[in-house]
Amino acid sequence: MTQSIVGAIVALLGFRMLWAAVRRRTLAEAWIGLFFAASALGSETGLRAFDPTLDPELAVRLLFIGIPALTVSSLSAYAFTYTVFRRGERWARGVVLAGVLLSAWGAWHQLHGPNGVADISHLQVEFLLGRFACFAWGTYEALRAYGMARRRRALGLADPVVVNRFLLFGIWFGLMGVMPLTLAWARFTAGTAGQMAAAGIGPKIIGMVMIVALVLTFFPPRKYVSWVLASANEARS
Amino acid sequence: MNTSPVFDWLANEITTRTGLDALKSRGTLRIALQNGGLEPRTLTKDQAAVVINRLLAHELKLRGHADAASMCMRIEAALRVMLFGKVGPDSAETTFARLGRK
Repeated sequence: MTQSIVGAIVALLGFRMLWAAVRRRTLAEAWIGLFFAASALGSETGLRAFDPTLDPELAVRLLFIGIPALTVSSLSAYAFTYTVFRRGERWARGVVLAGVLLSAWGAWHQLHGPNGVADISHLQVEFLLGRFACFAWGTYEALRAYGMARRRRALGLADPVVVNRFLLFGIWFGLMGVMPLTLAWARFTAGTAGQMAAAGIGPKIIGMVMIVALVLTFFPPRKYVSWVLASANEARS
Repeated sequence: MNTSPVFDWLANEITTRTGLDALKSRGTLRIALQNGGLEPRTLTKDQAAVVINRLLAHELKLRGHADAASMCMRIEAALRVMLFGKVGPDSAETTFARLGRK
């Protein structure tokens, strides 16, 4: 249930951001829109492929839709982080290139691998690694931007709502990254059964917090905005 | 690292008015910006005015300039009449401000 709500919100956000990118002709919205849309498609297909009750042929088909979609989502996350936080910086271009190679290698490992067979038993560590890395970078940059924006806010140079949005982004983006890490850890400690169990629990807890952070980032209710502004004014006086 | 035209102008002003060499001027300005949560590559004219008023004088005082306050007032007056081109691409703050809009 929670996973479906997260999936619906993520898909909705994807279309909303892609539409915003077309209207505003902005690259950042295009990348985050593609990230959401690909994540929604990838989660609904790629992660369902590991259901042991599924027909193996159907599972492979789902995997061949889901893994490329999740790879596109990872690449979009790298591109968004670069575009928003590090545009024009040479070392950051290197990080994006490394991320692209890591994600492509992970996808190849999952879909083909050294044995030439798609692995529908579990998400491979090679794939999870590429997935986790894109979230780690984005989370670091968002939280760093939050720290800097707080200092600007003290000088009256930053909108408190935007400052808060950096924090919210860092939270839900980080949680999205924790999800594959949890799966990898569960598999490492308890095998495939552990991964299946974690896949049931993880999304429920993490998903709930993510829903709240996503809604507050992209659809902030007026009451919440007023509260953020009042808190900032209180802190300044 | 790329720096905004405002940053380059301000660093040059500090060098001219304080007698610090270019490297020290840029370093002092970078520290002031860091304390204010600002970046050299996206510094705008409005932000620079606040940095001069609130942060730069303190940094210059630490480097032995007793008349830092009046020096900063003169720099700010010079800044007011300057015109700069657009500062590179959108800042992260501009993008994040858009994310919550309908």
